[in-house]
Amino acid sequence: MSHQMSSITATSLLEQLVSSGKVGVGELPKLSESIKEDQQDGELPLYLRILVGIGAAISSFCFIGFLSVAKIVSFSSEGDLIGVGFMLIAAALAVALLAREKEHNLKHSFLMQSSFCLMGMGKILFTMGVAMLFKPDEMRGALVATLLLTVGTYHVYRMSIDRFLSSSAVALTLFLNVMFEKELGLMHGNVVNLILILMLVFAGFLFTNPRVKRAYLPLAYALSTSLSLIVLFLPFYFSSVHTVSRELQRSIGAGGFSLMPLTVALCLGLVFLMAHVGGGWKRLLQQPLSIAVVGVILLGTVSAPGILLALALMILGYGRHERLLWTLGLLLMPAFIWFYYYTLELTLLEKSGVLVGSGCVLLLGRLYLTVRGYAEEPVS
Amino acid sequence: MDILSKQPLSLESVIADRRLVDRLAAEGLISAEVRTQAMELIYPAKSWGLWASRLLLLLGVALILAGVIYFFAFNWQQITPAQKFIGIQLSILACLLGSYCYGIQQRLSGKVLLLCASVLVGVFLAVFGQVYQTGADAYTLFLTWSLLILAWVLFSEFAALWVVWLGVTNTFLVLYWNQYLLPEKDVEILIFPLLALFNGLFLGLREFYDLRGANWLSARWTRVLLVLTILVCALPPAFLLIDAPTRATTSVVSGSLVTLIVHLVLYNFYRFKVCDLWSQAAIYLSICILSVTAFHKVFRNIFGSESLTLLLLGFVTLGMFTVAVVSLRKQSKN
Repeated sequence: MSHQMSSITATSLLEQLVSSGKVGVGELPKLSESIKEDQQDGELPLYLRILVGIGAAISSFCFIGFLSVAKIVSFSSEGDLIGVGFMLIAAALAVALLAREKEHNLKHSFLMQSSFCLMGMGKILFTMGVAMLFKPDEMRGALVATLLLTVGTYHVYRMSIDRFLSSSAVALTLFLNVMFEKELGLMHGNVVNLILILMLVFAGFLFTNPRVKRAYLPLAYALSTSLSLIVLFLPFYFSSVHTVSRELQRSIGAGGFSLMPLTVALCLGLVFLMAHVGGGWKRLLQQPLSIAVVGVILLGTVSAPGILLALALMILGYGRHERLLWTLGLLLMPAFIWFYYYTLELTLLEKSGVLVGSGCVLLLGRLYLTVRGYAEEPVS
Repeated sequence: MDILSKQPLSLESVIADRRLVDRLAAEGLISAEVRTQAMELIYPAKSWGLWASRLLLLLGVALILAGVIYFFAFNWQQITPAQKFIGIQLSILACLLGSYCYGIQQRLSGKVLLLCASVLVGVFLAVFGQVYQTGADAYTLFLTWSLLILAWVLFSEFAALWVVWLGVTNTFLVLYWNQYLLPEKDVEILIFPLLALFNGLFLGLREFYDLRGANWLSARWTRVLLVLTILVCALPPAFLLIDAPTRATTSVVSGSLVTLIVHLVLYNFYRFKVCDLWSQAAIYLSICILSVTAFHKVFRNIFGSESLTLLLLGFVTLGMFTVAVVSLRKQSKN
């Protein structure tokens, strides 16, 4: 399906607009300049980011192991951890600065890899140190540390993998703090839902607002990925909730809490997304889109938030040409479907009926698109 | 800019997307009318319809197949075995007939129906074992399944169906090795190089037909999936050899030889014959992981000190991954 994504280049788009007379030749330099400026926050290819990330992770663990075994840093002293962590972060920034003016050669790459490795080590040690300061509430300390580090380095250290990992750490520690907060009582479910909805809204804003710079894409990806992970594992956690402490069980209830507010928010988000990619709210009145809106609302009433989230990621990924987002949605969809039906309290026979019924509804949707001529399948 | 990427930007390398157009409109550089036209150029309404329709088809079929599997797993006693068999067989026939009508090689609907038929054959065999309690080893089910669907897999020209077939056949090979051949302790590791070679054969075929212009094989994911499978299968004997070279059996040594050959062949092919950076990245990653393991062993033997080993290993890892990244970047520029 992905090959259906258009791959028209900026040059080709501008040429077509000029040849149609909608854009004057004189406007081209200004348009080109604006596009180039926006692309300055472009990304390395994904395969390189993966390679850089794995390399830096392995070497970070080696160096942290060295610091621990050689007893250069005492892992039981918060002062040591914070101090060394801070120094490593400063060193990472200095190395990045040193590499800045160099040509792109072996030396430059080595310096950049080293810088990323130092940054990773520094952030891990600093977070461990601050977490220890907050004992016995280490999780809160981890949130404070990751938040400080992310805010402090996001604009100074412009490496997308670092931005993504740091932002993901903030989102996940925030969630864990709220999830395992024992004092929330009856409000527990509402607060967790609120946090998840805020993450959803913020990610949606970053992805869909044209004024948001590309530099914030790693943050948007971090929020989407964290949200996906949370929604994926929450049902599992709820199914084993009886194994957690009594205080927490009292707070979140024996079978967990409802994620209905998040489901409603995801439904609304999907409708917004359809209006966004469809070209405006008025387009929702057109027949195929209005039927899709009804479909989304129906899906929201019978389905789980994970399925809606995967659908949203796929639509957003396709609409924005973000293959990574699209693939994330595609990979998550079967996992969400499986978890959803796995956790449904129905017999296998009833589940099979629900599954076949849902499948038939989707095929009816396809039939509608085909009959109305919206989806003419190309013959190869 | 990402501080790792420092190259002059050309508009030719920028893909026009919704964000780009929206940004130009938000800055007042293009009018609402131009924005609408640009959107139509980038996202023709037809492509959205087609995308949605394919998504609905794939999800719908996946749900129905999952439902069918759940249904037979429930083993409803009110349905007689004969009714079960007839039900599945009729479904297989319906899928095949539907596939034939839509066109096996022409339309996605036809191909997906063929995929359904293939999965249903597996369901049929499972129900057969459930009803008759044959007591046969599981490998016979996968062998029969693989053989029964092979004919239409060959003619389908559908990569997803090939993936299903390879999954079934790989499972058969593993089960056959463990349940029928019952290898001795010192040769049981040989299953990994065998799987690497088996999947390598299909990667070779994929490349051969791709170079001859078989469009249905041109999607990059088919190549990357096979390369990753081969590399994962090729690694275990080499890890064993590195871990205990003095205790290595003949099968570990020969398995490691296969690991070496696999890496050399894949690297040469994807570096010089067909330049594929994703595959090369996977090969580099595999080589780096093997090398880090080997260096860890060597440093420990030479220095004996864990701290010095870890320190040196950190630098060596940085060095190796840097070389890999620089090499890939050079090629991507070329």
